[in-house]
Amino acid sequence: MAEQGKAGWNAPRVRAYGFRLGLLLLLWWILSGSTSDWWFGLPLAAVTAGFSLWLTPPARFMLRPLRFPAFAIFFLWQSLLAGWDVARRTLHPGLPLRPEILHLGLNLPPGAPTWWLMLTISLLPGTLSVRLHDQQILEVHCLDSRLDVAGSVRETEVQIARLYGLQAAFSSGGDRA
Amino acid sequence: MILLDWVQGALLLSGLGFFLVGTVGLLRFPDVYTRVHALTKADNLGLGLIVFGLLIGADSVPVALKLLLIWGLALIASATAGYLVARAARRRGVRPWKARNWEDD
Repeated sequence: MAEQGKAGWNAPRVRAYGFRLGLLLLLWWILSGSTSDWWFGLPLAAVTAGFSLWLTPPARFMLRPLRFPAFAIFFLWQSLLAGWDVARRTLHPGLPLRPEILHLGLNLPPGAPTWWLMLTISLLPGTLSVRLHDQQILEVHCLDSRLDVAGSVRETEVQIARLYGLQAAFSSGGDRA
Repeated sequence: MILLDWVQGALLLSGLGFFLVGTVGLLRFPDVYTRVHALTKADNLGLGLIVFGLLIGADSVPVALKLLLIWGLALIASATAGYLVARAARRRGVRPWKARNWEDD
């Protein structure tokens, strides 16, 4: 931690500080509504952004904000399918389940991209992240092993890679799989 | 305006329906893993539909963004909690339930 502090204000830290400050100001505006008291919110956001930089150093992977809408559309559509799928199975008298645990190799780099992938597939139709081995092999519990689980995890990986601007590094790994 | 009210009502009611289905799934599904599936997915869609229903009636941009923020935080919380429950069960060696009719392969 002390080493991080000594690193000083290089470009990634300044960029991370600006980004976090912007998010916190947005959050302040959302929480305090139209009668925002900026004399309080602005210094608070500045100090909090400093603290967050001290506690969590800048991430190695940057989200591309412009690519977020495409990801949001993918995610919304998939959660609609996921809810519908689980509702159909729940209410079907025969309870059509064929659960299985699969081990899938991941192509995303460790860290934030892998975490987002694990959170996202838990909300996709019929898949649930169970355990991660060595940041590379993900155990996925699926409700129905007849569905193309590996394929939908792959597709989610591509979506996350796009969100982080990782296609180039990713497509070489993706072709192999 | 009446049309908007109907759309809002439909979104809110279907959101409630998915919450109900999530609870039914919790009771009907056979093991801890499948139950986590039912809860995370059905409840997320239920909350999402309710949030979109309320967005129609939101009277300012900050209120609308606040609703979306609530949904986003609930999504992250339930996906994380679902993962933690499943991982804890797996570490304790809880065997996933298997459908009996399908054990031929």
